[in-house]
Amino acid sequence: MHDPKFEKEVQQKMAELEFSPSESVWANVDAAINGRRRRRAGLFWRFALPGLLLVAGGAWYFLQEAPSKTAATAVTHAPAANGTTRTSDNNKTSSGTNNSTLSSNKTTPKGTNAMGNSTSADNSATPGNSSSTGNSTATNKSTPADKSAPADKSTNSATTGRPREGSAVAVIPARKGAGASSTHSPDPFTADAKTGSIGSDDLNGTNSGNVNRNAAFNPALASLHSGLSPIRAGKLESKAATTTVKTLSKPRNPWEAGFAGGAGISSLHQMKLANYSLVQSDLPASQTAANAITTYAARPTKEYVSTVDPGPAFWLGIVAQKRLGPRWNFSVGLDFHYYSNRVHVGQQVSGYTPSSATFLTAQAVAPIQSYPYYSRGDEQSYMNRYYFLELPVAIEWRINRSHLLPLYLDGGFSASYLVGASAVYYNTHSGVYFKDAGVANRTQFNLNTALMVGLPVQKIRVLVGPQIQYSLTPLLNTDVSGPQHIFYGGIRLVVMPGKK
Amino acid sequence: MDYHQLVKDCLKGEKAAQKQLYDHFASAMLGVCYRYTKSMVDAEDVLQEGFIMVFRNLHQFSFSGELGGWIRRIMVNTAINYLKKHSRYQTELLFTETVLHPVSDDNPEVSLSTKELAELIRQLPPGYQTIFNLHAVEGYSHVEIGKILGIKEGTSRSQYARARSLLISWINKFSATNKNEANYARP
Repeated sequence: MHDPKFEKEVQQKMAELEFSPSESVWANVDAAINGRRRRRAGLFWRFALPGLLLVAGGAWYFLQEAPSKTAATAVTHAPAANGTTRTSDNNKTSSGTNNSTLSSNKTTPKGTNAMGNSTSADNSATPGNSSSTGNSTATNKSTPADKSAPADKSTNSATTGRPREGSAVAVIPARKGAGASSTHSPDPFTADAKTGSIGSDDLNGTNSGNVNRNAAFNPALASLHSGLSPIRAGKLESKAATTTVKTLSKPRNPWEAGFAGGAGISSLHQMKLANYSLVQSDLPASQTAANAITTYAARPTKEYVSTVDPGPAFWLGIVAQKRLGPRWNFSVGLDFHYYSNRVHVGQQVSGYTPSSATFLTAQAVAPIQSYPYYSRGDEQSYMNRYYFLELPVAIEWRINRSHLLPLYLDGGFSASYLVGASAVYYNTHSGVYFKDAGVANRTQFNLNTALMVGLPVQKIRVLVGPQIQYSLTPLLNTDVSGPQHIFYGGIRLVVMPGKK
Repeated sequence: MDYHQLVKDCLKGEKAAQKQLYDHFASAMLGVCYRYTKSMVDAEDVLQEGFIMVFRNLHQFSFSGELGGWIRRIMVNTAINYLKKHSRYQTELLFTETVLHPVSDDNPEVSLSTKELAELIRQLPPGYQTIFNLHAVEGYSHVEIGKILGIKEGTSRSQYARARSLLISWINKFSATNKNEANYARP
């Protein structure tokens, strides 16, 4: 037993040891404790902003989806004559055009539909009578008169010079003379129609009455019934066609939004620890003096490693998907992930009550619970918990063509950020478990894959199947525990509302 | 100084109180950190991390103990964490018995100055240095040191004995050198 005289002298001398810290220390401390809230707010927006954008994108998509479906319905029910029907779902057609159409229809011998806003008007094209829809769809049925009129055919062919998918209904042209407020650029699809002629007075609004107005729509009828001077039908047709084509050629938004989630188990994949051996040249120069006095031998060749038991894990998020081809989809998302695992530890070392402490009281020591240590052993298990925000990017491939149970293989990459953790880490050198969030790599890069099957649910696309994910980035930024990687396996569920 | 009021003001987020608390304890705590590390830069790193922990955990201070002791305890814990985290210390925190230094029960007169003694303690290998600081200076028992560092009590005890012996030999050499220099300097 040593005489404590030496220790007492050392204690007294060390109690007097003081140095003046540099100014940067307080500056950093101040920034850390008072700038903490600001940093957290920045962190929140870093992840919330992409999330909000995704949600807004999804909402925009669903809001955009409704009108186009209405148009598609009209197209379906409109009988196409001569294959020349077209669809217009352009609700922006001017009211002036609509009104002129109504007035012209009222004056026809067989007043047909005066439908300002109705969809799918099926007009029998009796002489001097044609469909008239201002901001809606209509069908122009061919009649013998129409068929006998070459001009009509030419007009129709001009109008439908380039058949488009889902095309259906004719459109009333916007006319300046009739008070049309909408103007359209020339349509390249109607180049042939420019050779046709319709009374030019009609353009100027000098000819009143339904005939001319209908002629504006159908130059053949104009020539049959009134023999008016030819006008540049092509110009009018081109305007009408422009309206139509503009609407139809608007690309359909290929992005779809939905929800994704999953549940399963996660664990830490731990590679075998390398043997540590101290090489003299590896030591910092500052320690050379110490090493000159003491000599080190090789380190133990086997390190203690606790078994890591898997723990429950789940994730939730939103996903946006774009179709790349008949069998390929591309998706991005924003997810919240929870992983956990269990490690076996010994007793917690937190009640440091020095037996010979001179300046510490038990009360002073007791509140310090923020540095728990656990000795190694199997006396208890500690559940490590990790919370990540993740941005996944994936490609989905449809394996089969079955409509009943389509199979999809999904593979991708994700970047995740550790937003919180409650975990202990094993230090192979000192042989204790300790809790320190600073040693974790906050940014992780992962690989994931899933095999999913599409479920037959009405009007909703539901995919479910097994998924695995492996973190490429080591969990810790030091080698105190060896290169540990998070591994996740579970069931993945993707729900895409509004899509079958 | 009214620590009670100072802590309350710090908990309210008053920067002036936080600065006052820091200024009052920083110098002594840097001395603590200095003993556990090998450079002043590392010591200041530990001091910085330690004070951040102090302010973040100040609500846990129960006022029944000494504020200085509480802060000192955090500094010691932070220093040990720092040693475990940083690779330049990790490789030498293996408390192996492969190198045996002779043990002696000498009780020399410590005629060195505070800073000279601190420098000698810092020259000890990190494993010895940590155990010596924890036992001789902080007053931890070997059982407690064993739990903190994850080693056996006996290992802590023997490592301390060797660290003590090594330090005493250095102190004796240092004192002898100083005496010789003083004799040569004398006319």
